[in-house]
Amino acid sequence: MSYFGNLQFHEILASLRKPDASNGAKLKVGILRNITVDTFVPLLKYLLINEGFVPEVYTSGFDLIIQETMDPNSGLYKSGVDIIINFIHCPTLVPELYTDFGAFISKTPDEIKAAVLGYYEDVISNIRKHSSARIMLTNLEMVANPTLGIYESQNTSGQNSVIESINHELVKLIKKHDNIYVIDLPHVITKIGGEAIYDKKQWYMAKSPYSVAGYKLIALECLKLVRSLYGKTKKCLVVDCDNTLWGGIIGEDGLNGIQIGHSHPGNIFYDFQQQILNLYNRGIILAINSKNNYDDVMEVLNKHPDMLLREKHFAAIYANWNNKTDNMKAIAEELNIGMDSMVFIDDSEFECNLMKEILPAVTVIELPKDKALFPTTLAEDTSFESVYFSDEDKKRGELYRNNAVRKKAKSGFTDISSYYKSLEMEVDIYPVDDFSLARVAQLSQRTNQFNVTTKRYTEDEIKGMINAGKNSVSCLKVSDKYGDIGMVGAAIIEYKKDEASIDTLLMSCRIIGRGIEEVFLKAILNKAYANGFRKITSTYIKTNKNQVVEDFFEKNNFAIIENESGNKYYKLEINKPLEMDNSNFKQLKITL
Amino acid sequence: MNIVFISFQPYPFGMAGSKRVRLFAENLAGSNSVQVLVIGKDNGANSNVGELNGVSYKLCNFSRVQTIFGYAKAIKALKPEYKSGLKNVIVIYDGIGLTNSIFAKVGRKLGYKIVTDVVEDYNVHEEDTGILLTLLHKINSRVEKNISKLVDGIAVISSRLRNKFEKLGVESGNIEQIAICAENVNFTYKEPRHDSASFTFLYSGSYANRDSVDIVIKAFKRLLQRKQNIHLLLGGAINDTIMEMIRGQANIKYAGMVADKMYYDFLNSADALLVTRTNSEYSNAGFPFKLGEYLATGKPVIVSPVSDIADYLRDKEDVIMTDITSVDAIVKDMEYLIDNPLEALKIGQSGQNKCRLYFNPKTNTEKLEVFLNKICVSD
Amino acid sequence: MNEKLRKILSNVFETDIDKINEESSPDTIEKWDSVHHLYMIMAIEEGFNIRLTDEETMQLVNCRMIELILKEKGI
Repeated sequence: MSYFGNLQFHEILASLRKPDASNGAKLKVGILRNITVDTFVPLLKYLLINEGFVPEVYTSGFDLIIQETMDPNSGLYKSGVDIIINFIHCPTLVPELYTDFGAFISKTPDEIKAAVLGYYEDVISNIRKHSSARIMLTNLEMVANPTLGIYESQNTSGQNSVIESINHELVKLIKKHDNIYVIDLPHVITKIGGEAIYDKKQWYMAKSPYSVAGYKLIALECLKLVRSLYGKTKKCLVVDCDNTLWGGIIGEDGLNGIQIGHSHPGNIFYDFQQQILNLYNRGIILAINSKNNYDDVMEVLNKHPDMLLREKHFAAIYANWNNKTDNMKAIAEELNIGMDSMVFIDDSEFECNLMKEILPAVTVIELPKDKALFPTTLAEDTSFESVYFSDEDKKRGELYRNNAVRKKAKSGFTDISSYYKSLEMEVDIYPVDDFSLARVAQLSQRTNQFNVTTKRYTEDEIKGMINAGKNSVSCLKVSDKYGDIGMVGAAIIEYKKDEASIDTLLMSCRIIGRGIEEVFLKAILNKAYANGFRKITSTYIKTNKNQVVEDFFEKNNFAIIENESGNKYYKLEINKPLEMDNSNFKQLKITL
Repeated sequence: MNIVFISFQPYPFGMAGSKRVRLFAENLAGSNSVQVLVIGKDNGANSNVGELNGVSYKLCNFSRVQTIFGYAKAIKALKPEYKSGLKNVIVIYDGIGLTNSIFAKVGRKLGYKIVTDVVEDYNVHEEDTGILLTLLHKINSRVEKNISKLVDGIAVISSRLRNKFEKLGVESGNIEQIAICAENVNFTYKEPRHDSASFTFLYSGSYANRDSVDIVIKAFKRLLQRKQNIHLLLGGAINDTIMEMIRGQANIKYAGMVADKMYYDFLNSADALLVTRTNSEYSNAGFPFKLGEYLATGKPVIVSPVSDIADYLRDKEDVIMTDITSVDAIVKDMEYLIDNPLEALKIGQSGQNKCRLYFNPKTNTEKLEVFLNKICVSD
Repeated sequence: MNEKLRKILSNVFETDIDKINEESSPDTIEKWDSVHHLYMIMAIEEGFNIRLTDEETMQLVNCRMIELILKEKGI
């Protein structure tokens, strides 16, 4: 599971041996138990260390819960313990209800209930005589194979009914005290199943009832409680837009083309938005961090009939072409929230890894490839879980929205060169051929954002261009360490009498912002130079979708000759081949 | 009583001899003062001085050869252990010979009673015993001839040894037969399954000719032609000949040396256990230490009926007695257990009960204690 | 010896991977006590995605046996 970083048990053990270099907060944890908990302890330590604590764990003697709680000299109370976790294994504590169950032959349900609750009360009052530490207690697990089988389910007097009612009373019991919390085992079993939570072998060999997977979930429950109690619950969820809040890309597909609504696949995103709205209603602050035209995003939020989330739900909306990490910093500053209280959710591996790399304090949720799992992915995340819930929480979102000053996106400078290098990008720039022809035509028809002239061509038209011999059509292919992205860019240069003119230059928005644009441009310019051209001209035809390339040519040293209602004409003189900076790429292959 | 054990075996952990001394010592420590002196240069993996379960032990650092002439050293070792006000007795493990008779002499002078615990016979030895060892045994036998003058009492592990010492002039009242002790006699073992599709035989121990492991392997291989899903587990220090026999054999697993900590689990993982000493004079004088531990697991044991085994255990009731010289016999016995799972279960349970009766360290040590007391109060 | 097994044992027993070989056993590895033995069983089951029977776990007496048993399970 991801909280353990997909590490296996032995890797977790190994990671605990590295000396802890952090200056984290010391957390003293005492564990009382009537079972073997050797597997649980390293898992708990791992989670606490990852949360920024420096844990010190004391484990009591086996099945000495009452004795150790009563003894003021017990190691449990030494030097101010912060949290006391009680692993009360009820099948061991009250076998009459579990293994020895014989339909209440020796004791009635009420007697058993009273005995169990009395025990818990004893443990709590013993501890409270000596310590004000926060107390966590495991409750009673249900029985997977009740003694009375199907009879159980048809009556209220069976094992599981009694267990449920004890758990119910237990919650009431802890509410009478301060700072006592339940570690909910039935919840864990619901998640993982009665088969997977137990390890029978380990139980018989060593009195350790649960499997590694079971202990991981129990440790996670403890972490959630600790997080909430120590103010480490996250406060703000920052979301991407395209293929996250809705299916498709607003810049390419338009308002009618994106998928959000009540039929497939829009219904997935609808459910996903519902999850996010639930968080909003719980008092979590929402923000948008998207590589998009601001107006496009606002159009969806305000005009699309099937959106659940609207402008008013978001305390900050950063839709621009800057690095998402820069946006993140701006959001944190604007909302005055610490980076370690923020959660970022995006479908792009690239964006998620960049965020983890540059802003490690942010919790990153990478959405899975299978969209159907989006709602569950968010539901399973525990960043926002809290033991508290107040009216104030309900109103928080609105409060932020009203007070926020929406600033225009600032362009910032982020040093991401080393991140680019780590992507191991391989860029391939080559002349079009029969195989790539169709794709070039397709790109010319579909690409709206990074497209300087938005000229649409069919396959035949491009073929004609090639045969006429007056054009050079170039293709751009990119792959990185995550896989082959495919052909994502195309350029058409027209060779006139004494100038070369850029007829078309486009790139898929997927790879914008990786430094590839400059390289592609330089490659085709050098090709023109090699063919003898020293004067290059180009055009920017303004559309309501291609703002992202509005000043692309300026940035690459082209001079503006004319500017007519947003459309711009450029010129560039080249005296020698342009220098390529390929330091960010693992491989740059140009075969034009 | 104040009891001082003298042993050439490491203490507390080592091989079978160490275990025998330790089980006696620890069970005596409840109501007696018990010390163990390890004679030698090295105490194995143990520390040289220490205390465990009420027994304090110490390495007396001198070689075997030095013991022969080490009168002064022997006094130095034994005098401080003497406790006036108590009955003092020395128990010399593994018989009186050239290299430890000095302790009998010195001990007597200091006022100890002397008892020796004999588990093997020096007069007879296997054919493949080396020259030096044979020579040592010859000399020891000479020393032993005077045993009645050197010791006050002898604990023996078999009836043959009893007879031997009676012949050497020791009064029968001063001889006590104390059987082997199974350390794991009270361990709780899981009930063996009799519905399992597979069957595993286990042998662990030495691999000399006298252990007849080659015959066991031949038998197993033959059985493999008829039965699927049977396995043979081998533990201990194997030799090249045996290694060749099992190389590449599926279904035969060689486990190497098994650590003490893992030993009983290891035994318990099999379905039947084998104790297969050849029926030589030597083996008949001693008693297979392993047998007790094997019986304690509740698994059926196939055993070659050496020594007094037949006095304690009944064939096809508590154990399966086999003819270790015949491959056919062993195949037959192995097959019997596989084909008759309920019988196998019964034999195992019955063997376990017999073990609890005859090979229980606590009861056997009580017997030893009574004997030591008797020796102490006699003249 | 199976490299993945060596890595797992090295992590479980807090021992340099160079010190792990076929003969390694509770006698030769300091940290191989009962707690770490349990860890080892869980780590092997998780690491190789197998379930060991009771009998098999009792035969995990040293590294040689661990390898033999893994081999039997097709690893």
